[in-house]
Amino acid sequence: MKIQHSLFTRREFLNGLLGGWLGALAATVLYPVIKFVFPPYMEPDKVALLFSDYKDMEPGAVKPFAWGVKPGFIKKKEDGSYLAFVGVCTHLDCNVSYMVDQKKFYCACHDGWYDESGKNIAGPPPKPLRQLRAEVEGESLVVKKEGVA
Amino acid sequence: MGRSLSAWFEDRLGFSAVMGFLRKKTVPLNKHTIWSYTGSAILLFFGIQVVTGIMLAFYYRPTLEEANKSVARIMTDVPLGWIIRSVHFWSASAMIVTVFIHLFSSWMIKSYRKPRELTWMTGVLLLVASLFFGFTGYLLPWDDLSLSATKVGTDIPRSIPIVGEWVTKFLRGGDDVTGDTLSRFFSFHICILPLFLLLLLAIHIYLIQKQGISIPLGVEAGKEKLKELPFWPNFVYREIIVWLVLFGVLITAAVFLPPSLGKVADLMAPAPKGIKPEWYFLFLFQTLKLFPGKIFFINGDTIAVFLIVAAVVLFFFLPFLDNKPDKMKGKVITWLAWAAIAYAVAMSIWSLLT
Amino acid sequence: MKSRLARRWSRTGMKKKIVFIFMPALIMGVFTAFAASIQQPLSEEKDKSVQTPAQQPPAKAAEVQVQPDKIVPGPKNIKERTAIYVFVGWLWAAIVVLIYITRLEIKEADRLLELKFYRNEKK
Repeated sequence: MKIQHSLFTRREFLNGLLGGWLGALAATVLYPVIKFVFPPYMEPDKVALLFSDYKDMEPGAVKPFAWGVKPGFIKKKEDGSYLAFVGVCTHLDCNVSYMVDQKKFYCACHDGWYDESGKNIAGPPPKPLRQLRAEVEGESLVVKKEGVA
Repeated sequence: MGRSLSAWFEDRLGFSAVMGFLRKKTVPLNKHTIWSYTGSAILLFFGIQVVTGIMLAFYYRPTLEEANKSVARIMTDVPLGWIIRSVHFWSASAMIVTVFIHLFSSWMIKSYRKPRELTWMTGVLLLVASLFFGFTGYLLPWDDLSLSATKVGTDIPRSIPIVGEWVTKFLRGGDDVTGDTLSRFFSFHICILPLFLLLLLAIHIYLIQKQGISIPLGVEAGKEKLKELPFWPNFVYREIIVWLVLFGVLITAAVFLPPSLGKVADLMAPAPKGIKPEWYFLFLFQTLKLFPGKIFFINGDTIAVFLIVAAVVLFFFLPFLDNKPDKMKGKVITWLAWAAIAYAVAMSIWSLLT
Repeated sequence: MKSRLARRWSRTGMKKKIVFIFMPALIMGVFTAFAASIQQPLSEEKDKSVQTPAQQPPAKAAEVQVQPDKIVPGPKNIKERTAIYVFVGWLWAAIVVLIYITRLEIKEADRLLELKFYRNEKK
């Protein structure tokens, strides 16, 4: 029986209380489930490569390396420093390849092209290839994400 | 909006018939009503098994090379993986305990009297399915203990003449326990057994709804009006309390007593010390140990397995054996039931202690 | 002025009191026995627990991990241990509240039953 000025009946109140607390319990249980099903993404902060593998590259040359589980490319610039790209197309995540003769990166999925500095020049890719920093530290060539010490 | 939405579904599905039925359904109120909570408790644990099982299957790799590693990864790398695995482990045992309690209670109050024979028989098959769930699941971590336990467990059918070899070969996917056994057990555990169990469960539950909850013998005999409680909402509210407590205890146990993982199974290594099967097989394990190597030229194991199979068959047909439950025959059978339970418990404890 | 709980306790018979006190002890005993039985036998080496730090660049150190004998799961640090206790505490708090509310619902449903409130629906 609902009194005129009350928001809800006693029955609705009790049922709401029960439903609400069951919801709280469900949320408590759901939290570990969600955490389990969405594991933290494990892209590495940095990758250390053997510098000797990349020392003898010619300026302008491009060599692949492993960036976690994705392909990456090391490019030796004209001035002798190194640049790194994540070799994944910015369109729909296909792995790109480097065409040596044309000095361009090519994505076979939808005919996407990037020039040798990773900028998207033709086809559907919306953004340039993701760049990473590559610095020589002693015996290693360390590839780092932007903003990582 | 909510009302017209449910009206839309009602026009097409007509589910209000189900709710109407549930409101009419009653649960008899007597001193044995407490056992009526065991059935839904089993469903609770089974539901938890399905959910945690699916979650574990997201990361588990069912090959010989990766099985143990993937379980180790679940326990160390995956966030809260060790809790999910622990819940799966504990809910398995909880489900089997509750299945036994459910079985014994309906055995004692002889719920299997006419017309509930089929309910009993599907129930026995459900018990077998549950035990097989446990057996197949035990191998999946592929550690030294589970390999040995599976080797022993799949070797036992061999003692049955003629068909034994075939049963063992079917279980193992060959003559020995190999990576093929693992794949096979995984397939049983996540596909074949769930389908089998769900089918049996559907029949079991349908029969219960159609025939109503049984009234125990002693109560039936000439009382006045039998007391009963509506299923919805009175009994369901009480069930919710039982579920809440069981759930709380399960999670607490899982969080504070998680199972560990042994080192990866080595097909060439000798059996580790102190292997034994899961607790629900201990009484069978101990029974087998009791039988001598040979009795009158027949393999001791063969006789033991025969006796066990015979017992299971008698058990399955119990409603037909106990056809005069209120007479002396019924009382003898009840007494035998208590003796069987005492035997199983004693054997299990003996096996644990040695 | 005795509390409701105290008055309820005075009304319970001796048998029920004994069961009530021994039941938790019995359950804990069964749990401990079961937990002891699930502990797998330790082999000769000390059992090491695998400690993988949460964030680990994969190529950083060639971490050749000798296969540990036994992996013991559980919270890795004090923060996680505390989180577990908070979680279980909150779980039981929610359960106790839910049981209280459900008991109220039961009382109400039983009251309606007495009034034969549902009989009309049955027809």
